Amino acid sequence: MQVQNIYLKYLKESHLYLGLFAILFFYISTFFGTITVLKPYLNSWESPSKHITLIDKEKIDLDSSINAGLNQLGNPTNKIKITLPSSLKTSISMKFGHSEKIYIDPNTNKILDSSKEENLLSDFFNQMHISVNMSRPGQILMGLASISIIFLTISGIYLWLLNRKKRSKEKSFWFRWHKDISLIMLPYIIVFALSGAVLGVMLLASSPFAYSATDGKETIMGKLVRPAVFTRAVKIRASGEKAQMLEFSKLHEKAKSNYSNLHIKEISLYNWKDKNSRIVFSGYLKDNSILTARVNRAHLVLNGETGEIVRKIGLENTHGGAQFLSAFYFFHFITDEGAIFRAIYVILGIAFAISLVFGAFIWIERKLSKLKEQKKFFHIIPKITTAFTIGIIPATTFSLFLYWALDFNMDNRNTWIIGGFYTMWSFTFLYSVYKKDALDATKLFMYLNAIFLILAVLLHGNATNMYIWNSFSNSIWDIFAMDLFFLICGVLSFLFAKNMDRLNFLNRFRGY
Amino acid sequence: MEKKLFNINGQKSKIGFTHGFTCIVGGIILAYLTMMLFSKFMPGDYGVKIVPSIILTPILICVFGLWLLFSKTIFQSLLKFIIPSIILFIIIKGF
Repeated sequence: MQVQNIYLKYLKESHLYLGLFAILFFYISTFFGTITVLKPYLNSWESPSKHITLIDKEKIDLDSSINAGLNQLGNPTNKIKITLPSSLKTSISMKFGHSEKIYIDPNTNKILDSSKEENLLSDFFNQMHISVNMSRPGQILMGLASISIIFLTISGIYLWLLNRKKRSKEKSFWFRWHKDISLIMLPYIIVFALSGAVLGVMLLASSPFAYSATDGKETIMGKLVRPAVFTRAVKIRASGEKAQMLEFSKLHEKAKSNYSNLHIKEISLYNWKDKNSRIVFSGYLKDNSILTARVNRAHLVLNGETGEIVRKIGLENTHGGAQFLSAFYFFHFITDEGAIFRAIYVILGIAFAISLVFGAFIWIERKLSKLKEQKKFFHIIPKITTAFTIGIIPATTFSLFLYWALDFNMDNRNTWIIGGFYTMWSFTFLYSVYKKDALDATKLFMYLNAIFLILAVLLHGNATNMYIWNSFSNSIWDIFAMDLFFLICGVLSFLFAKNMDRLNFLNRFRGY
Repeated sequence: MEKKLFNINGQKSKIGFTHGFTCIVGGIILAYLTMMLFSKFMPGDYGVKIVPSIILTPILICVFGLWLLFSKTIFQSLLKFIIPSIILFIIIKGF
């Protein structure tokens, strides 16, 4: 491929500038996104009431558990949503309209006391992932960073194609790894940059398309697309006549036998205890979970009184747009997938974060060598990079530690925990500016990280009376796995900090 | 400064402010206009009209941005941005 020299220069320059803008946001998004992959497990880890074993799914007594939940909710009759336990979640959750969720233990059919639990940590990490905890402006910035990442991908591939033969091996360490990892991770990057751009900024800025599609009559995209693409399962009003409903277990049996391909995840009730009652079983199809994920669930609608089938919505009668969106979102959210898929995503996320940081280091190395010529030794960008990339790790684990260290009845507990996160993060920035060498700062951060993680696991055991050995012997696997994961991370970071001086590879970082 | 302002036909060795601004804003505007054109003339229901626009626009922004980047002078980049925008605008608004 041939291109004029001046264009090559432009390409490199734009790759650099947009990269420096995008890396700040996208590193944070990748870091917290990698934690958010573990969200279902983190959810049960942070709420003591959900430390329960999952019995055999076939043995769940739906009648008593759902009726207990309905009683607790005050016997509502419409828009009741029941989520069944799965490999990601051991309790049954129920909600009515926009009410608070309640959780039911499937073993004892009793309501779990979750009044003081609000998924603080996982929600906070999710917010950091979506918008750096800055709501709408943060979300738009993150979306713009995603668009920049698409540009960087295209221009990066273009640069690689242009320079494939010319590029000799004397190029820097950072460059080689940045190029190799990014090329291997290409599908992952495209999936996340594109879905990030759509979710972050395109859905908010889609009015022009609605405007031109309707010739200026309508500017709200959701109003046009939602009814056209998504099928509503139930469109019926209550008749006002009371009726006796069938038992939930019988209806569940009936749904299973009539739609054996459907993996039921959710049950919704409409017009309950009425003649026109509807019970909707929704979930993904066992042979096609990609096209029936999240936005395009398969449904089976039954009449609650007689149990006859009212409607069956599979792949054959849903809109192509909904199927496409479902596949598009599947790889971002992996709603239904289990531990193995999530572990792969965690590894890919770490690799991508490394590739981003190495990209920044190419620039930092060049900048610092120029500074050395001018006999200066300080530049703020390497310090910011240290605080952003490594300093954020002890800050995150500090919030995990505070979550269990602070009393559950404390006033303004959330503010303390989230404030603790930001304070710790600021401290890491201060410390990396204070220390001349980034490696010395890294050493302290890794020690702090190890201390916080191990203390968090121990304090979690103390607060919930569920130490890591207890959860192992009671076979509560999600809690045990989370504890083990944190312990392994803590021990690894301790060993890393201890042996840092002996690792020759790290000498490249000396002087940053 | 004066020299730079009026020297829109001279070759540059670096991406200046105007060039960069044209690439970013021009890329966004051209991508939006192209996909608005698509939304207007695509037959089918609103799902078929709007969903592809939402997903393809980020990619088109990058492609148009790259196309605008590859121009040797500021004048050329402005021309590349303004003429297609006017044509697209007339097609969308005029019919």
